[in-house]
Amino acid sequence: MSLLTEGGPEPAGNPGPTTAADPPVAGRPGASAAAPPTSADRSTAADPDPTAGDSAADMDLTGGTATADGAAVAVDAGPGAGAAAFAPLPRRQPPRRVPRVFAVRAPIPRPSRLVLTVLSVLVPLALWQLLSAAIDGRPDYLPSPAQAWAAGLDMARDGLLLGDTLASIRRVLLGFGLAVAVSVPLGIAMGAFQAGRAAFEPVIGLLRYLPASAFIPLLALWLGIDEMSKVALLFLGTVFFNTLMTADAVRRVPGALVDVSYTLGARRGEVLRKVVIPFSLPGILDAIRVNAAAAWNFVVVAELFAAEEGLGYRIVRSQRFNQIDRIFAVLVVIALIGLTIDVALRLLRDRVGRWTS
Amino acid sequence: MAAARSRGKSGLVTGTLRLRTVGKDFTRGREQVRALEDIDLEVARGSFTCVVGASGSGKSTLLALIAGLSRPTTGEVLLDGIPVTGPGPDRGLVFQTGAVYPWRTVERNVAFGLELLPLSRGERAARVDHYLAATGLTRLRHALPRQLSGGQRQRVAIARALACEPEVLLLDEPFGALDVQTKEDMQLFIRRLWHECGTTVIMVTHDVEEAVFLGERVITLASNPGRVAADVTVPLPGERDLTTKRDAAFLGVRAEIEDLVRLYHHDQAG
Repeated sequence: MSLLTEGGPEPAGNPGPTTAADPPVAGRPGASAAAPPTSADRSTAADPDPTAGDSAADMDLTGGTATADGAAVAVDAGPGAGAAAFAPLPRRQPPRRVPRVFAVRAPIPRPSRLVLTVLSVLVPLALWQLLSAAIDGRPDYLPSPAQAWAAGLDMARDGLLLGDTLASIRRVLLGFGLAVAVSVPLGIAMGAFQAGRAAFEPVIGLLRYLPASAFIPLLALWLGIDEMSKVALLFLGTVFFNTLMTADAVRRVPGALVDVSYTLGARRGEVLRKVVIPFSLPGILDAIRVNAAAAWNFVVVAELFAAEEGLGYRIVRSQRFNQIDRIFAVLVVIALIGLTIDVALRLLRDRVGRWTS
Repeated sequence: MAAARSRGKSGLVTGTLRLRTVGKDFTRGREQVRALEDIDLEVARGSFTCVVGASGSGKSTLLALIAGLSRPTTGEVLLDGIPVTGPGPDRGLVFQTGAVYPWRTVERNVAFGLELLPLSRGERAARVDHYLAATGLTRLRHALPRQLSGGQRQRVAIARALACEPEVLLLDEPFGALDVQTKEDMQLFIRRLWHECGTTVIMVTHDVEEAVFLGERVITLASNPGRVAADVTVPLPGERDLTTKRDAAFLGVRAEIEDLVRLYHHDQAG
């Protein structure tokens, strides 16, 4: 029942079949506004009356309240007076019940989750298979998953895949490692000190919009075409974002936590070491995880130009020899390694941030 | 600090904490806002003082000034005659939200201040044990804050402050976010703790009943700017329990102060 009638004798007066037969809207008449003064009438009127009579009576009574009805029974002036100026608020039908899988943010059954997870991998794979079958006879155009797998095995047996993967990983560790080493302290300084923010945020906010790939020619010019320029590209591609995201994580440290630490006797450095950094560590790891994905993208880009090994190099080389199946094999390897890095960092983050709920 | 403490113990007649014509201005946007004006207070060593007032009366600002987290625009805050220039462990502070370290277990939260001092491991552990026991947290010593209820978290914050043996314990609406039952438990708890530790307590609250029940003295602040409107000594015995809240004397003082708060609140609104 609507809120204005709650506690009144109305539910009893409203016989079961009546409400069932009614559409939901009519079943909870807005007329309830008038209910308190009239509940006595209703028990006599509603009992013998069918649906129509009931709701008609309700309508009447609302009208009655609107024109300041019964002075004698205006006991509950509160609700009556409040509703008087308006027609009863329309009620919407209750929403249709939906399966739990479609309910916003609701937990879903374990089997459903499993099925969806499996499908999310299998469907694209099936599409790939279908597409390659549709243009059959052109493995140089779109090889099937099986052909890509075979090419991958072939490359693995030759030791190419391992060498390329290690080369790429080495570059990521170097370039992104350097970026982390610079961006985390810088981000902490920007997040913890207003001065740090004022000094660095404008320039970094600007620099991050320069696409790192646009620096490839310059880097080649300045640093040559060896490792240095590739590491530098990775660095440039990730350092600015990681700095800003670290600063954001640090800025989320509650002021009260810092204040209370001072009242417990902590000095500035101790507040940084023992409060600010531990609190923001999970957030910093989140930033690193996001940017590790970017680093993994950049390493392939970097290797497309003037490399002698690496997964990106393998793609270019395969294209040159029209070994499209190999390109696909390399792409799968890139994706799997990326996923592994992501999962590893997420596990680390969950371990470090166990205290977050 | 050591000098100040010994001086206090040698039986100085004056109060341990003094505020001399303290005022505080804030700049909010381009506006200059006067949060506090001409606060003159003397708080006796070992006393329990409550500060009430409508929101915006500068209650929390007052505590921040005593804590040293904020500097007065005029006047000065003196602890045992020595001007307060910044925050320190001699003035422990507990916020409404507790502000416990979420990544530290209960015992490591309590240990925070002690970890900063040159104490042996055994000495530190013994002190932590003592304050865990005093606040009824021994059983929860390995729990993380997120596993605690609101009341338990406040106990952690209080234990953590007390472990530093403060001259003054400052409580900023510490039970404001708790449900009624927990709040009463905590009120009894803080009374008992105060009896045991003998620390000077200054507690800010908007709940007059709580202020009268806990305080030996209730200071009412008026708003805009915050200033002392009334300073009432609570005529109740030191031993109080929940039945005290039904005492005629209790209800009288409570009504009197509630009227004051209301009066100065309307004063501000009008």
